Amino acid sequence: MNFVKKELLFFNVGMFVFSFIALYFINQLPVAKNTVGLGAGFFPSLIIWFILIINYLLVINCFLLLRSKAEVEDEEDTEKQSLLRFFGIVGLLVLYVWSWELIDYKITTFLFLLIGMKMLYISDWKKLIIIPLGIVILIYLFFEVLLRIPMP
Amino acid sequence: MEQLLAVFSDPQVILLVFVGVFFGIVLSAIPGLTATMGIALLIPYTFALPPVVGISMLLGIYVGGMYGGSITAILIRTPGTPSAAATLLDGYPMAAKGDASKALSWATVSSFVGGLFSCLVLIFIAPQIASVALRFGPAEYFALAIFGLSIVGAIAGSNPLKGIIVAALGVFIGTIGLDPIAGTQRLTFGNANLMGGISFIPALIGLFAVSQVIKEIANSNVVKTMGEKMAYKKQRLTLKEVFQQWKPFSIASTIGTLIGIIPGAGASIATFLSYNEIKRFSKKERRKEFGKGIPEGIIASEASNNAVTGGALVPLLTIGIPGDVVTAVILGGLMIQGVTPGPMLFTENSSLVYSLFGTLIMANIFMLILGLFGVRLFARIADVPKQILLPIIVVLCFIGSYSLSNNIFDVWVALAFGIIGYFFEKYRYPLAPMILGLVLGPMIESNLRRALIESKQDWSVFFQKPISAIFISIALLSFLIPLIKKIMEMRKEKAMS
Repeated sequence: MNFVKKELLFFNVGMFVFSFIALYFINQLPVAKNTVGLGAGFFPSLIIWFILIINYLLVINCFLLLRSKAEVEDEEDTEKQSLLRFFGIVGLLVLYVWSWELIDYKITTFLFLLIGMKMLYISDWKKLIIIPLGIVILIYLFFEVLLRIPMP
Repeated sequence: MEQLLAVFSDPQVILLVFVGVFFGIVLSAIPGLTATMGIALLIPYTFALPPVVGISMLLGIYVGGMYGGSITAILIRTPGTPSAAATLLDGYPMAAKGDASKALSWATVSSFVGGLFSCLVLIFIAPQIASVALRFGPAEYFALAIFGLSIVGAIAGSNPLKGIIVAALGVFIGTIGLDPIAGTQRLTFGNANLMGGISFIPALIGLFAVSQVIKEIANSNVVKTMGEKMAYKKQRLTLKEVFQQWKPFSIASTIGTLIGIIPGAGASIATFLSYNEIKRFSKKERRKEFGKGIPEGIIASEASNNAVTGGALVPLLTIGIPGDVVTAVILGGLMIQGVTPGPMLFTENSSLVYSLFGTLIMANIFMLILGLFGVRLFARIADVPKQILLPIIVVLCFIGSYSLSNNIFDVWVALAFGIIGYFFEKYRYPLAPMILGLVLGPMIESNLRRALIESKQDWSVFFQKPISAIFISIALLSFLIPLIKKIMEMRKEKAMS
């Protein structure tokens, strides 16, 4: 599937779906008295309708690009995006943030930095231990000791 | 004038202004931490100090804080503060080309020029300008915000429609939370964390920094070359190069000062407006270079955001209305010292006022010195391999997001926006318009509704008031011209093929 088709399917169609869902929830908002039609839902619905119009224009733009074969080739995604790496890094980030609610952030930050650097092909064990340890200590001293910001 | 110069001979003032500037730079360089936070933290300590000394330190943090955000924006594409979001448009590309040192120098000099310009405006014409700012009502604020949003065409890249839809999405996301007029909960789904809306800074951190990290790691070709360091050339900025840019400096400093004078407008609007106007006034060939790492892009953002500092103090000192969030906190500091801002301040306590003007100039000088000498140190970040830097950036981003209000929800917001930003960039949708939308959305909505309620739903009110009419007309032209140009280009290409 070429780049423009991917954009059309994932972004533009997704935007239409998002807009209609948003409109549904906006219409559920209570209409307050004495707001002369300018209640809570007025502005969000105005913006969503605007998004729908612009999205429609973008869809037309995509179809025009698809018709023009020379432009389709230019727009093709040439980068090799690894889905596995994407889900890997997002999964790691989700796990890191979620773990803050369970374990002290110093431990999870140390582990995250160690695993993150290992994922990025750092193989020197000294670097893998010293750098995360140093960063955690710096964060503790700066945020908790100097700025007195309570950390998770 | 004697009071203005007297502060330069007071060692206590000199020391504390220096400490304030340094503290402000460090705080604002870290994503999630801001000058506002630094000022709020140090206000209690100023209680024991004489008024001039205490407030001088706060002003030092303010000035340093406006500049510091550019350091990480340029080096690691992570704006330390919202006002540095526009700096990365050209700052990061310039650094990526190996000119990190020069990019940082441009940011430092621009901040100094903008800050000094606004100081001079503050000293000479403060009360006169404040009276104009008082004429801004809801219609004028709405028009100003729409004008601010109209610059999406300038930062949208090749397809203005993509910029417009992203900006609109940002405006829509800004409506989540409590309705500003009726207080109704909107799109909160019963989540107490959403009642205050989506926090702007975690969204900013996520969109620019976290998305970049995800993109860099997900791209397997890039990972293999990550051991390579960013190319770094030791380059000095010459005076000749600085003077050659007199036009962008003038435009950015003027816009920043004027926007700073308008209460509630904020530095973010000033930076993007300034970027748009400097691009508009550039030669045709030069306009295409914006976004690819040219000095004008950095000057536009940094000169204007530091020019806001003096401008924001104008309404604060002359009429007691803070120009932005930071000056609102400084107002607290003034009141702790028993100083009541307002028209009488200039007559009853003129020595204090002129002393503050002097410390503002001093703070800008210290910022220039620290910035230029610190360039060598800051640019060393370019020496750190990406394999080590990227995980550290993520940690700092998340810790910074958490520290805003000690709420883990803000960290989730940063992560969510990071994923959104990744997909936007993947399909070549620009990110900067979303930030504009988030910043300006609440201002647009509240002033639109107020203006319509006041005028009994008469939409012509926006064209009846001259200031509003001017801003809206320029905004409409700014929206339409890039679109018309794009259509004409497409027709030309079709005719040629």
